[in-house]
Amino acid sequence: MDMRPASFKEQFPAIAEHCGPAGLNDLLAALQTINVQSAQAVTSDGEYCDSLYLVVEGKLVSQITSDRETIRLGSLKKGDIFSEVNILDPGPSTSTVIATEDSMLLALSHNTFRSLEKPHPVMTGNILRMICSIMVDRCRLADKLLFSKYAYIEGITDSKSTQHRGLIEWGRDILQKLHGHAGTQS
Amino acid sequence: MSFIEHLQSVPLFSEMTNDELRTLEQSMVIEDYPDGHKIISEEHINDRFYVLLEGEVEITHEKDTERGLQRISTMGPGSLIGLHGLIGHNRPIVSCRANGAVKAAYLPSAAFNLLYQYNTRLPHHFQTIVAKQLAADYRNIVGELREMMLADND
Repeated sequence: MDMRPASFKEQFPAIAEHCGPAGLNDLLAALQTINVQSAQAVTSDGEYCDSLYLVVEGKLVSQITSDRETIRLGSLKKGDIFSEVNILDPGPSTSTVIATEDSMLLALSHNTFRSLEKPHPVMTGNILRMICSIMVDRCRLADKLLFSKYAYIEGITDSKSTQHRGLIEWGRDILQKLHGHAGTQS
Repeated sequence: MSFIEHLQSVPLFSEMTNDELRTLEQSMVIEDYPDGHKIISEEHINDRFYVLLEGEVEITHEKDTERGLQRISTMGPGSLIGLHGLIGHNRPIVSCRANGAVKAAYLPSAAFNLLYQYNTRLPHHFQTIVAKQLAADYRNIVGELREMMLADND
């Protein structure tokens, strides 16, 4: 699928605002289109990933899982981006993202992004800065919540944190915010 | 040890060329801090990025807590502090206090922005350093929360 610059600007204005006409054309040429079917995973919690994903069509859900349980973090829809940490520094994904309906994504890998640095240093620098800024805001918010509730944790005398419902809700809320979701979701 | 040698000993700076390190040397300010000096304070907006050259810095958190001062960690030579200050000019969540005499070099965000205008590779490299540190911090926070949330109920 060839996305036109005007459509990209409309759907992903936070990225497009840093691109001049030539830079945007090269960025669009570098993006890889990925079609995922409903129930198919795009990223898997703990597994290596090196790309940022942009949702062009469809719906997905973000969650973290263990052998026993799943914590749902939030949903993703057209115009959303996810997996920001993996384009900054490829490594283990911090969540599993699964399509809940057939979806179309654009993927930008770390190496592809780096290859745009030479022809478009200002554009890539500003996009990198924008992503870093998103991550700083999320880390700050999480730190704030962690510290503000520290007194609550101190009141817990046993080691089984999962038995404390308030603590679980608080932890889920922070995880949702760390992954860019607004807050507690059902 | 010269300033450049100090920087070369920090892994995150190891990819920088000698020319880039010299530019950085000209842009950074080296200062000595006495024992107890608050290099970064939760009370004030920080817009400086520091490379710790000699001594030890204690990371603490005190503001808005019922518990009082919390000691979080200690950092030694080669550590980078205040990275977030280059990105967003907000009040820090933690304070960094000299534990004994400390020598550190700092880069003000204004100098970083100026570098951005005149030199493309060095600020890019810096931005990459910030990105890698941020990614590590982010994965640590998520990892610890994940562990707590998914802890075995048995």
